Amino acid sequence: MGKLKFAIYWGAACGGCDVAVVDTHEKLLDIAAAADILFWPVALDFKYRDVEEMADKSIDVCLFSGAVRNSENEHIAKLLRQKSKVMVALGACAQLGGIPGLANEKRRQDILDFVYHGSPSTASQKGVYPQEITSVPEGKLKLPKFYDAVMTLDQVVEVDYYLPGCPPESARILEVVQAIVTGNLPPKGAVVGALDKALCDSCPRKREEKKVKVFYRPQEILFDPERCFLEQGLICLGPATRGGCSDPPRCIRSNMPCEGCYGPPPDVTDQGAKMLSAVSSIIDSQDPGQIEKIIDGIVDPLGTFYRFGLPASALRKKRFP
Amino acid sequence: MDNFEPKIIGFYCNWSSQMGIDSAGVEGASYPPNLRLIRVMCSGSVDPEVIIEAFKKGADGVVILGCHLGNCHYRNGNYNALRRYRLLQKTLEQFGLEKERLRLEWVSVAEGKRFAGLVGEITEELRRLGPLRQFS
Amino acid sequence: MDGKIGSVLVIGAGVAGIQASLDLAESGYHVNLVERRGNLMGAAANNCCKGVEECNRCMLCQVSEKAFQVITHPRITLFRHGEVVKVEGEPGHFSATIQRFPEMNERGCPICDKLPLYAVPLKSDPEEIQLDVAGVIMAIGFKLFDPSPLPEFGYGKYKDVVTAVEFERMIHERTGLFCSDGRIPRRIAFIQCVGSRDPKIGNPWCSAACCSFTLKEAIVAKEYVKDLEPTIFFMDQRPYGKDSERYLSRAKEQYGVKYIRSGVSKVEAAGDGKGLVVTYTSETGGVSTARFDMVGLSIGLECAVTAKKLSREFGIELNPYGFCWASPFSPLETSRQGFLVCGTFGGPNDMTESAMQASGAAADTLGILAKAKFDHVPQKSYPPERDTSGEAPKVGVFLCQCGDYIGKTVDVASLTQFASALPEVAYCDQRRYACSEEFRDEMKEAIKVHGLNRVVIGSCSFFTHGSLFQETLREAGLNPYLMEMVNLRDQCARVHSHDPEKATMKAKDLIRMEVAKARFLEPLYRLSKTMNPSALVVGGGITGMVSAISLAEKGFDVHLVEKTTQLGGHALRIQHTLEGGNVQAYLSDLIEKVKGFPKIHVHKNSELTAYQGRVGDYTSRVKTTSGEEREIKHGVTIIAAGGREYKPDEYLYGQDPRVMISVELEEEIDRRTERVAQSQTIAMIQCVGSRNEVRPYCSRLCCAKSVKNAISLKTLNPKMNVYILYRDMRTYGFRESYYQEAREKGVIFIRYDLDRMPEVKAVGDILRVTVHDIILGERMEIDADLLVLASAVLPPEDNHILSRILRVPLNEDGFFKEAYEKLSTVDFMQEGIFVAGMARSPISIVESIYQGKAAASRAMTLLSRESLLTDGIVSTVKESVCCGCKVCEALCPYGAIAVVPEENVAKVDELVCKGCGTCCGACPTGAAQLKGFKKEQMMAMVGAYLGA
Repeated sequence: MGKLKFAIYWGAACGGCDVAVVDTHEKLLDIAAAADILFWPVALDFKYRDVEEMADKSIDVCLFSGAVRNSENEHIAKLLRQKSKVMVALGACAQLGGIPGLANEKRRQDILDFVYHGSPSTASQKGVYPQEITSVPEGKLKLPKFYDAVMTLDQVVEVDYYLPGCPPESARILEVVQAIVTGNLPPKGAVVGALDKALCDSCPRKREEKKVKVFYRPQEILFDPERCFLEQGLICLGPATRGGCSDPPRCIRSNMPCEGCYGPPPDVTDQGAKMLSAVSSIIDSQDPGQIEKIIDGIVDPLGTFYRFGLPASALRKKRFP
Repeated sequence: MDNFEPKIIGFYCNWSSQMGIDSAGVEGASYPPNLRLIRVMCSGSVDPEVIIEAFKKGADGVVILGCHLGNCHYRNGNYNALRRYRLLQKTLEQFGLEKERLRLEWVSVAEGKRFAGLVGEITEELRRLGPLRQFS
Repeated sequence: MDGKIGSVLVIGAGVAGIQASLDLAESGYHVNLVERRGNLMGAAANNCCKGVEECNRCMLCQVSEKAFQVITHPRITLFRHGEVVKVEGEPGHFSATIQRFPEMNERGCPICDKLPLYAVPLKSDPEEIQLDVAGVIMAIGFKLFDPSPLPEFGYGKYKDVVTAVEFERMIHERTGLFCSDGRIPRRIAFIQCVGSRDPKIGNPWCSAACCSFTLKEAIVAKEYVKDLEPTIFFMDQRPYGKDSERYLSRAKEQYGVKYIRSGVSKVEAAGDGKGLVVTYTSETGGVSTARFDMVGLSIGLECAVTAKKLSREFGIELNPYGFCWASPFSPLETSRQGFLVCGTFGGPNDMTESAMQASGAAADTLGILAKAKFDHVPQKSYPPERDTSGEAPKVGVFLCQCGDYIGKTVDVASLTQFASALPEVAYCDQRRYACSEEFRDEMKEAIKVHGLNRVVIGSCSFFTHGSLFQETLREAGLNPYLMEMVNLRDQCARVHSHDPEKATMKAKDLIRMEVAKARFLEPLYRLSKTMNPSALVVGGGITGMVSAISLAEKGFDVHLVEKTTQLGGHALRIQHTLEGGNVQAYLSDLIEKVKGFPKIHVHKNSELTAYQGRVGDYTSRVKTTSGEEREIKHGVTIIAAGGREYKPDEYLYGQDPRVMISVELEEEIDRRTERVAQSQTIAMIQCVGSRNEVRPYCSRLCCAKSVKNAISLKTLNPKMNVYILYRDMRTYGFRESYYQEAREKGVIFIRYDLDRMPEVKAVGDILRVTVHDIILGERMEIDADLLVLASAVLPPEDNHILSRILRVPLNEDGFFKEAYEKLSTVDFMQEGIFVAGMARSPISIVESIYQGKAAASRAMTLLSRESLLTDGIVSTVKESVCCGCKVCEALCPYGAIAVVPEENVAKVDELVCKGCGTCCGACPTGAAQLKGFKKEQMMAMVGAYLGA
């Protein structure tokens, strides 16, 4: 068998997924031994033209990280899809929209206003916004179109596998790559490098009774490092998030509640809905006024429960009048 | 917008609210035909995922109907509905859905007529709000 | 066969009649329930909640549910528009004659008496029906007092003077509050005790139910008209039921209900023609007037219209007030053996007491009945159930026109056409009556011929007809859970009769949605749980012993666990009841009886230390004070742990030997102690430790106790000065006449307020009690030889331990919290465990007796069976995705779901699960799903309406 041909790309992403790939350390060399990397903008110098010139399906595996935020992301996603046999959505942004997806709570124009004018660190001429086409003496300069909404990878192209995480754990990436190398692949559409069980299953903290009278943010209280976060009033998305990032989960080990980056477990489509359902169910009060007060303690429910999954959620984006 | 007919989905519990809803019919009350009712065992069993799915698929409003507080057939399932509904409603507001689009109402066996009035009121309210903007 | 009959006659289908019938039917007996009217639920049918946020416990929902159970129960035969005219024979072998009225309409629904129930052809039943029954339960109810003959209230003269019951009905029917001229009232008065506590008109009793009823009216009225000012004119505030005191405080504080202690002398039209003027004499004697838009008369209860006639015909005695006479220590037994009484026929009562008496009467009847055989329903044999697991969904849709009720509005023909074309629908048909026997036969045929494996029925309510159609499926060899119903009548046609076109469109949507759900239906099975026919009774006081005897009489083993060295509990210190019954004689009789039953195993000096299992199969551990431990296996549990008295730390109690509590005085009276005999003045203070901030509940029995002691003292020494310092005299029901008697004997009653409490000082050889006399408006000093404190009833100290061991809740006051405060008062949410007596709230001995019987009756509805069947609709957990987060565990009201530590997954005990689905809504992984209502089914319905 010849060497496998890989492409690694980032859309709307922070680069963390690429770092996670690099973080496989010397194991990366094993990958390199088994595979040729044909395209990896973060690490290697290739041009889009190189990809365009490849024959269809000449890439064996494309690892696509990042969400689809603009026309360039979409264009390259489609291009890579055309050239790749297997398309893997790598990381939370590609799978769910990720942190960039939280922008779906804003209007496109509001984002541009803030970034180009509102932000205190920006000095920009009034009324100047990036244009898709700018005429200069040398000709026309083109910028990608900034979309109204952030999309997940599978909202623009067909995705074969999802490798969740923000970023995915390096060890999981390696396992998946090895599975691909050995041809040991699950059915298409599967989430790989994660478990069917939610994170709670591998959480070492002890659970007693889920009844909560106040919700806190981590900085607001000193909490018991041995006991379930939720039971102490800290919102932890462990129950509605796929496990498998690491065992025991790293965030939990570092005394931080799970934020949900591994996405919904297999029988759930809307992670936020499920999580808010569980969280509200543990409120220990039968007094409507007190219930209201306790709920008010949850600052920004949407950002909390859909932190990584807004574009992948059922409603995808805020409705504006 | 005059001829806009809101699509409303209602989840009603098998006990007091079913008896109340049915008694609206028995007593010959009348209400607008915009509501489609789905029977569940308890208002506390309604899954927010299903409600969100309804909005995604184009429902203009969703109403959950249960026994009055303190009168749940299962003792306090309706409190569970209340807690969940409030957090869901707050979250939906962040999604840009007016809070009137999700309602939680208590209906007892004696409230057939009140239920009829309620459906009228909800329908009117949604008519006023107009159709829920769908994601495009 | 022991030659006895397994059938009972219950007369009257109000709350009491319904409860008695259900208990007996559930215990395996056949019940003939005779009701004069066309509808069930008696007086409760008028109740209504008024769309307020918090339920005000009118209980109509619960009563309606029970009424539905009655009409669909296979072991209850309902005779409406009928009357029992003759009962001959002996207990165990009566022959009853029922006469049915000519206007009998077999088809009208017994709940609403309006819409058809079953499409059975009208039969010309014989006018007279003969029934063989073993016993008779009289639950004929009461008559409301008619205020028309009392001119001072202006009832009948002014349209805005209504009775409280009319007021309730008005809100129900008009869903609002309006004066006769359509205005919304601002000020509304309620006048208490109209037709009660009034010896002049021959109604000296307190009607017991009206204080709470009016209170609810006031709160509800206030919910309707936010700026309403409700005022209640009253003599004593007597909402004496469990938790009523809190309700009363809420009425005053949260709703601003104004209470004026007074006597109302007249109600007249205002001079300017606007509204009504109420003239009243306040406590201090001043005459005032106040203007109102509306006046509600809180009318009392009187004996039922038919009481006299029935007493004559059946040979049962009435008491002097015209209500049924009952034996002092068997409060449900009438003067004729085999005839029992419950509910308001025995005396004015609220719904709680009526329902408890009903269960108690059922328990008393069981003794004269044959062994339960559950055989009064012809045993049907069903064809073997078809295995549909490998089949693709083939849905049959059956539509009903319900006479004209559906067909007039919904185009059933076009609906049929529409349904036939739906994917996976293999067959669709419609009839004028889907519930008719012919159509059900055709349905069965169609299921067989077309190989249908799912059925959707578009007709009426699942409540009334669900079991009928499930039965039809079974008869056709299909699992009964493969059926769904659409209520086309009440949820579509009847409410959209003005718009047939849209109604038909909606009907199509509803059918499409239900068909979409139906494809995911799966056969469900009712599990059978074994029943260990023995009971554990915790507490050997009167309540516990009465329960134990009732159970043992019916042949069940009972383990009676008593903490102390002897049986009898609190009652050991009580000499006689208010009515004069000899408590000690009764008690020793009871103890002898307990000893005489080999089936009752008494464990004295013992406490419950461990308890596990589920209904039908519990294992408990009982430990004696000497440390011996033994294991008991039992099927049900009754908590009768009793109460204890409050030892006051106020009024010099414990410091001065002349200060004692009521029960101590009673003992001294009994022993005729010198100091009691020689006392010239004895003062009593009521509500010591009750109805205050620490214990905001009424201890209920202390008023009667003090009246009883005062009468005894006056009988001993008519010259003795006896003072009772009280806040409200709560001598409810017939107890009122003893209050009257005490007054007539010269007992002086002085009222005090919470904000001016009496003070006590020892001055030389007397105790000086200082009290602000509200009537005279001045301080008054009583120099007493003895001071008696009517101290509160407290829950036992170890209630919280018991609550933890048994996993059943306590209320805020530390008493056990039952399933529903007014009905199901001896049941918990958890099946198989019951509570009676002081463990649930303070009550009198007579009340303990019927509560003990009620708990036994409820227990026997389970014990009588060889096994219990669960419902098929239960939660299930997909273990491959459950993460053991425990969210479900804390939520389940039944303790049916728990995370198993070794596997870290939640498991449902299907034998305990009641199928509410609360866990499923909460489950963050979607692992918990409610069978029959799974997410995929809900999603399918939503999708079928709104499109994919």
